[in-house]
Amino acid sequence: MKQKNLSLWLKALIILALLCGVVIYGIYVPNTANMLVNLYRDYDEVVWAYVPMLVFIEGTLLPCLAALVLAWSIATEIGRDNSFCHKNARSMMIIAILAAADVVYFRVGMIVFSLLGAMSGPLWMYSFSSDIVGFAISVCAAVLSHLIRKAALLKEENDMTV
Amino acid sequence: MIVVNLDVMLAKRKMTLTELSEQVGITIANLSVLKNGHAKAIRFETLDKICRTLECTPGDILEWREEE
Repeated sequence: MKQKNLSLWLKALIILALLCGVVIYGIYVPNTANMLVNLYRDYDEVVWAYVPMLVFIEGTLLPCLAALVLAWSIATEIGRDNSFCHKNARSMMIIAILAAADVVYFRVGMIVFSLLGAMSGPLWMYSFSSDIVGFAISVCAAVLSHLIRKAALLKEENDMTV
Repeated sequence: MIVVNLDVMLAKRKMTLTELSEQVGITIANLSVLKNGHAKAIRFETLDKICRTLECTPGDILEWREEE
């Protein structure tokens, strides 16, 4: 596959991910929160947490948006036939940090809400699956960053070889 | 450090960088990198082509000097 085509496919994937994010965070999460509030409307110890928890969950979107912006920048560099550059390695490392930060933010928030009694045991346990996904993304991005940096160094040396 | 004396050999053979580039088949940009001492490495194939064109030995083009 040509460089330009690869870049276009990557950008299409990023736009798709953004649309999924809009659907999940804009429609699914608020609707689920409303549904739960209506279901437990007689339990004051849970209903109070509706707004704080909604804000908390929507907050997990911010690192994802930042990561998508960085991914767009990486796709642009790939399109310019500049895949192995320090800029891409740096962007990938920032994505790894954002993913890890999102996992920590989410886990700390879950613990706090659980201690405040706004979360049931099973729900708290099921949320670990998102931790695993976030952690996997973070590790993969860190590994890719390392490989891109090494490749960039090799490319620099090769460019300066006559 | 290794010093590249390509400009000295070009002057001796009364050849321009452009002419050398055409005869050797290496871009002017790459030859400039070599001439200005910015190259990190040179392939034996490139050295062979340059020496064949300039009718010289590698020692005429490459020189070792103590770093100041």
